Formats: sequence, C-alpha cells, structure tokens
Amino acid sequence: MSEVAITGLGVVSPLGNDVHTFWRSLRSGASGIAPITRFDASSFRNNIAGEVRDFEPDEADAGIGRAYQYAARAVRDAWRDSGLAGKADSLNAGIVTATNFGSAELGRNICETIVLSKPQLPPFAPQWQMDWITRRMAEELSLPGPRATISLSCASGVAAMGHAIDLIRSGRARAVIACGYDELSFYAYSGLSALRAMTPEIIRPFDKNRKGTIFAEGAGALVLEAKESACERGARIYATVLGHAMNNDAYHMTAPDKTGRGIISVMKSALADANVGPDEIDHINAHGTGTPFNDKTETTAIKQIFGETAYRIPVDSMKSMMGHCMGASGTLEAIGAALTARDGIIPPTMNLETPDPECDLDYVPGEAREADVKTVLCNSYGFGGTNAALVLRRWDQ
Amino acid sequence: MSPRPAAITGVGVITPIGTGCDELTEALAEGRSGIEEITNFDAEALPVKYAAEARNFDLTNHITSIKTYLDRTSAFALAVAAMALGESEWIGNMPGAEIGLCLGSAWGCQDSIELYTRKIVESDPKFAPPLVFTHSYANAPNSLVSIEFGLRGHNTCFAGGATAGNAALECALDLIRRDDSQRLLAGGADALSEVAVRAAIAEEIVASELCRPFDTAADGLLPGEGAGLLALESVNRAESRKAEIAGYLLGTGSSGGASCTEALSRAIARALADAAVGADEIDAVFASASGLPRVDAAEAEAIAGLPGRPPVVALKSLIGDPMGAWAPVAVAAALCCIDARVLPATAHLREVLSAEVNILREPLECAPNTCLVLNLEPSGYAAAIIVRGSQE
Repeated sequence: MSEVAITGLGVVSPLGNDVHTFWRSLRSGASGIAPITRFDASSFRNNIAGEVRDFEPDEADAGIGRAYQYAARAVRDAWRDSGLAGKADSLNAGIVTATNFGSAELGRNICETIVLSKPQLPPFAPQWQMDWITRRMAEELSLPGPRATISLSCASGVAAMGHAIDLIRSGRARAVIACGYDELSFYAYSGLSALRAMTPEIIRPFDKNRKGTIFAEGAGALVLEAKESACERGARIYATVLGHAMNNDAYHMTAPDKTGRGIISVMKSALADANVGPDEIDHINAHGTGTPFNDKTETTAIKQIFGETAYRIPVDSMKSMMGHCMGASGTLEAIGAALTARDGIIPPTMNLETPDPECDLDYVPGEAREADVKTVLCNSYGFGGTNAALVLRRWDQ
Repeated sequence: MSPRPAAITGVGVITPIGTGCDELTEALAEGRSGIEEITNFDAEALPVKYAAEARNFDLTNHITSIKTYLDRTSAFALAVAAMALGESEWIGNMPGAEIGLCLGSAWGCQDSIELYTRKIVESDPKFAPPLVFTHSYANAPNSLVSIEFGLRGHNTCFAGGATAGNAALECALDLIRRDDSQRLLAGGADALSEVAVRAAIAEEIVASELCRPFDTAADGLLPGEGAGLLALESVNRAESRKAEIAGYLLGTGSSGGASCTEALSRAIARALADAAVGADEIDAVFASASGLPRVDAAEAEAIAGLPGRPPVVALKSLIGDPMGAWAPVAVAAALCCIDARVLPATAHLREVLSAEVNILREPLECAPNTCLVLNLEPSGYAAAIIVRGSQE
C-alpha cells in the first residue's frame, strides 16, 4: 500500500498554539490543565480542564464559533506549512474535518432558542451543521477535491486522518488536509461529568490511583500528501503514514469492551494495513485516557499483540499533559508522534506516581526520553465503541 | 485505483412515501407524494407548515429488541440496517471479514441534542441525563447498529452536509476495491428535526408551499427525512456465494468548483471515469433538484452536457429533501425504478426552466439500467454516483 507523507502541521492546544511551542511543552512534561474559566463548572465532578489560552482568533474568523476558530487556524497553519498554496488544483486537494461536538456552544445557543420558544433562530444558525467549517476552509483555500466531515466521538481525529489517507490511496486526491477539533463547552462538559468519565482530581494515566480523564480542547491539522508528490516537489516531510484501521466494539454505547477484542483487532488491522510486523514498532502513542478501564484494557491489548516485546516498547500518554482534547486528541497526538519519531525524543507520561500491577509496561514516567524511534503506533478510541489506530514512520532522507 | 464495481446485495430504505423497496416501488409508480403538514414537532409558530415525514415508519416492524430511548435518526439507521442485512443474508450464514458500517447524516441526532439542552437549561445540570447525552452523539446510530447486529468491521460516521451519504458510499466502495473480503453497510439517515427546519428557514431556502424542481416558479426546498443503506461486497464474493444481486455501485466522484455547474460537471466526469462508463451509457438521471432556482438551473446546465438527453427524475418533488440521506435513498429509488421499468414524473411541474433537459412530466415506461445519481450543494460542491441494475 502506498505511503502518505505528512507535509504540513497546525496546532491550537492547551500546550501552545503553534507546533514549536506545543512540541517543546510536550517534551518538557508541561501541563496545560488549569481551572476552567470558560463557564461555571462548580456543580460538576471536576472544575479543571485543558483550555486553549492566549488564543486570538484570526481576523477572518471574528464572530464564528470558537471551535471553528481553532479549526480554521490549525488548517491555515498546516496548509501554509506544507507550501502547497497555489498547488491545490494540480493535486485535487481536499479536506476532512472531524469533531465530537462541532461548534458546541453555538449549538447550545440554537437549541436554547427552541427550548425557550423564541421565534427566530440566531443568525448564525446555518453554521451549526458540522460541515460548515469544512466548506468554509475548502472555499477559502480553493480546494477542488473531496470534502468530508466526520464525527466519530473521541476517535474523530484519527478517523479524519484515516479517511484522508484512503482518499489519497484511492487516487481521489493527492493531498488532503485532516483536521480534528473540539471546544470545551458547557454542553459536553455536563454530559461527560454525568457519565463519570471525568476524574475528580488530576489525570494520571496508567497510575494505580487513576480515577478518570480530564477533558480539553483544541485543533490539530495535518496536510497528508501522496509521498511521490511530496518527494517530487522536494517538500519537507515530517513523517510518513504507513497504515491505519477503524472498527467498532459492537459492545456498549459508552463502556469499553473489557476483553479488549475491538482494540486488539484495530491495532492488528492497522499493522497489517501498514505491512509492519509487531517487532517493528518502537513506540506506542497510547489513547491513555486515565480512566480505570481504558488504561487497563489498552495495556492488556498491547501485551496480547506484542507479547514479551511489549515490555520493551515505550508507551506514552500525551493526555497526561494536555488532557483529552476530544475530537482534536487524535490529530494532536499524531502530530506529537510524528515529531517524536523525527527528533528521537519520547514525551513523558506525567502524574504516574503509583505503579499499577495491571498496567506494567514502560510508560516513560515523569521525564522525556531520547530513543531511536522509527515506527510508531498511535491509538485512539471513543464512545460508541469506536476504535482507530495509525502507524507512522520516521522520514529518513 | 481500478474501476471495479461493488455488488449491492441488500437494500434498506425509508422515505416519506414508502419503507422498503417494494413499498417504494409501488409509491413511485403511483407518483405518491409524501409532503404533508409537519407533525414531528410543533410547527405552529413557524412560517413553514409542510415537510415530508416518514409517517408510517415503525421500528418494531424491523427489530424486536426493546429500546428505552432512541433518537429518530438512530431508529431509522437500525431499521434500514435490519432490511439491508436481511436481504444480504450475511449474518449467521458465512465466514469472512467482520461487517463494517459507513453512515452519513447531515444533522445527526438533533432531537436528542435539543432534549439534552432542555434538561440542562430547565434543571440543575448536575443531574444532566447521561443516557440522552450519549444518544446525542453524531455516531450514536453507528454504535447502536453495531451493537444490535454485531458489526465489528470498519466503522465511520460522516456528519454534516447533504453529501454525507455520498461520502459513506464512496468510502465503502473504495474499501471493497482495495480488499475483496470487505463487507459493508453504507448509506445515510436523517430525521426531520425542528433545528434542521429552522436553520433552513434562517437560510431562506424553504419553499412557500410546494417543492417544484426545475420549474420556473420554484421558490425553495421542502425539508424531508429518510434513510438508505446498501449492503456492499465485491462482485466476486457475491457471485461465488450465489447471492441475489440487486445492482452494482459502479463509481463515484465529487468536486468543488467556482460555480455549481462547474462542480457538478466535474463530479459527473469523475464518476464516469471512476465507473469506466461512457456518458452515452447513462439511461436515466436522478437529479439533486431540490427546488432552489439558482441551484436547479446550474444542475440543468450540467445535465445538458450529457449526450442523448437522458430522462431526468426529480424525486424530491415527491419525497422532499432527505438531507444527508439523499444519495443512498436516491440509489435505492433508482434500483426500484430499474426493477419496475418505469421512471416517475416530476410533481407540480408547470413551466420547465430548461428545454435542453428531458425532465419527466409524465411517468416513463422504459428499461433503464445505468443511472446517474446527482447531489449538488448550493455552496458549489457536488457529488455523483453511477449505479447499474442487475438485468443483463
């Protein structure tokens, strides 16, 4: 199967609003989690989150939903970074955006209008359909190729990349922007709190005392391009994507299948799609949400696939630093994984203080580590039993 | 990628004029209209009174399990999945890859989003109902269908836009072309919600009374709802297991463009190339034709570029606009028409806006086999699908 190159990156995150700051924060084990300022969270299970800070929306985005502002910035930055401006037509470039909740605060305003029996929807109502930002960015960047909008809960980001890769492999486009995004909203936060997926304290993936995740927001965009095209034009390649897979547990709306059947299958399928054996994986960028079930099930699944080798593969959870950015988590983590491979530095899993006998892999606790990382497996799962995995490879000139 | 078709071995469809292919075929032959006064929600205060609702839809006709809560979009998805899987005879009958699901929806589970918002506005959000929240996710229908039928294969959810169903069908076709062992349900579902109708009102795109595609008096679309899901597998696989083949998904294409006409013309050209079908092989066109004058005119111009003036069907005059479910619903309708050897007339047509296009005023008895299904978004993004019947 043909490889796809990553030739552009864009980031809006709790760890910084550009790729350089984001990557520096990840390596240093910084935390992007702080008390929520966006809305009153006092009645919920927790009142901290990974908010995007110091973000000034681009001038063109004044008045549009906040989530869309994040997505628009990340997409523009990634597109600029790729150097593809002016080449969209010849590559039939397209765009795939993905999100859990879209412009959630805007949606809440719209629904409140109905709940409160107001006669007219606010003028921004047409923005509420999730494809609005896909369309807007395609028009702004004059992208003539395929457009798609995906919502696959917290696997959305990787699903966007997966679909973009498939569009390139099928010859329907030679470059596709994949963007995952979400904003912290009262709507989502109240629901996630009610579902008790949230820890009442800090997020500590793979720790014995972990009690849940911490939610966050942001946007991550990647320009994915046919490798031949990227090489021909001498583009800077961050990493290549070798393969991916998506599936469903077919088990429960919110609870993970404790047997790990779905996530074992999705990792195996991604490796097969990438034509990579388990012995070639040097590092795993885990879903690692910090919920009691996820971390245990993910660990068990990794051991089932990799056997004894699993103990020699460093596994990290970037969510320990930036929180769970929902629809953005998959793309932000893939960006982190691409930079991990490029620079040979694995960011740490923070707040892992008490080892859990059931989570006994090498999670790179507390401090980043230098390592020769050629091939990375990225995991992303979400509510609805949705699972996705991605295999990235370091670009060696 | 080589232009290989996928076999359609099961079809599930819900429209305002009929559920399932038999009912839909009958309704199309009669030219039945599904446009009536809105009952899905209280439209008393709205300037729009009419829409196309799937009034006779009853999930208990399709599945037996009991649901404590279900969004209407999810209920649609469950029903069409039951229909398509039933016809495909995939379950319990054959080994092979896990069954996948590619689903598209323009609005997702909007009623549940509204209900959940009501709960957090009207009472203490601390006691927000997690069940309703869970069912408000755009991919809740994927999850429910997967759980109901044990679908553990590829799974994705296209959310937003009239072309969501197109993306789902294309995604499944490409997966099957790459991997012969794939079996996927692909299509879309959209329920008529107050939010969707009011957003259309805000955009000023709703018809005053009737949906009159391709008519000089057209003044907007009529919101509708529906679902369509196809059981897709490789032709080799379907033939070797001697499955009953309802038709073939030959190819797809999409394009943005500086104008609606340019986008649609390119999408048609790409779909023809993808299907390895000549423009002269198109026997009938199932037009996007939603009743928006500017967009319909652009579509007519693009269709006029096809040789031989193929007959053009404007289905939305009967079934309203099923939003993200349009493409799979239209493919199902095309298969019904191929089977019944008749194409339905365009309802409410008085003065045709383009004489260059063969828009049907009366039902046409013919033997169409290769059909072009179009979808044109007002913003200038278009998608096309080529579907063929199983008749030789």
